[in-house]
Amino acid sequence: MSAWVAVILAGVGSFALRFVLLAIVGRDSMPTALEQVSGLVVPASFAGLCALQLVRPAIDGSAGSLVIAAPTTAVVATRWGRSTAVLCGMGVIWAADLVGRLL
Amino acid sequence: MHLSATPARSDVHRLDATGSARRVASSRTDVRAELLAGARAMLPWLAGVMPFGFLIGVTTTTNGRSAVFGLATGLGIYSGSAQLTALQLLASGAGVATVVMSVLVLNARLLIYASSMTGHWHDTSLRFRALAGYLLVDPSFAEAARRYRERPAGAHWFYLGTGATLWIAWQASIVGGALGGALVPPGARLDAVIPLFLLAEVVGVVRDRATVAAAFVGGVVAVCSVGVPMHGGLLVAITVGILAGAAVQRVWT
Repeated sequence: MSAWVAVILAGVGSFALRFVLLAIVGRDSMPTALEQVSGLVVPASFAGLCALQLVRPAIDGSAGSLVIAAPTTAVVATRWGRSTAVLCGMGVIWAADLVGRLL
Repeated sequence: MHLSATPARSDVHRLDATGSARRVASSRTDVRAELLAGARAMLPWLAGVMPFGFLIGVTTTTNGRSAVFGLATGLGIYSGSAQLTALQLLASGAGVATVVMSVLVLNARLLIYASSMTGHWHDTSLRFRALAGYLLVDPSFAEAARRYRERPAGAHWFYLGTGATLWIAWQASIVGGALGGALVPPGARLDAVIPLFLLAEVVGVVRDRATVAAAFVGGVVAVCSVGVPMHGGLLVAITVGILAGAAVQRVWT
């Protein structure tokens, strides 16, 4: 029961975070100063999210082949598409798993 | 401003209270084209996003919760990292306050996203802003930021198309994971798709010195801030990353 309360409150709160700044914007509002740095939000945010996802396995030691897969994905992504990059990284992981099981 | 009795034939003008003519939206085909363009723009993201949603669905049932519960996190919290954290916290017996606080701190970046969009959405209806805000999350924000910067005309519909596509795919993947998780072989390593996809995204959006600085500093600070209570490290990392990028902008332009 309390789990549902938590999830519902968290959901309502999350919508509030999304909407509160948009709600108070009136028709005559000036563009926010944040527009100058808006191009920086995505790189910082995605890098932060990515680092969090990589740090967890690094800490509990389950990173394994991710250590090779991550740089592979990064390098492939500089030249080719995102999906290709992810596939190459996953290829490294699957290959490493296969090698691990064969040995 | 002089009020014209006959509006121009090619445009539809509505005169608002101040007397200035505002061009309202366009023909049906424009709207449809923009909606579809938005949907198409989201498709490449789904390859990385859907495994994440699937994983959340799987985690939900692994933790003994129903598919409906997992879907509820998707409908409300609507953010992968926050949903996963909430599920993990609940599984470890955390209380309501801890779960809610952690989700809100993790999702605080949405305030930054919304703040970035206020300039683009300030002349839309409250209803649009409510819907647009609800659909705002990392991939839809990334697409919106790009589109509004490149071509603001028609961008509202583009955004709705892109946001709705993401939303539908996300909820579907959660339900899929909750119901069909047992069918996926553990060797598929879906958990690895998420960091790899995010990494590919970072490489994709980094364009110049400022964005490199923002990404690099954001990543480093996130790693260093792992110990910050209530998962506040992400917000700290994003803020410091933006500041670093802004500093580079100032020094190098």
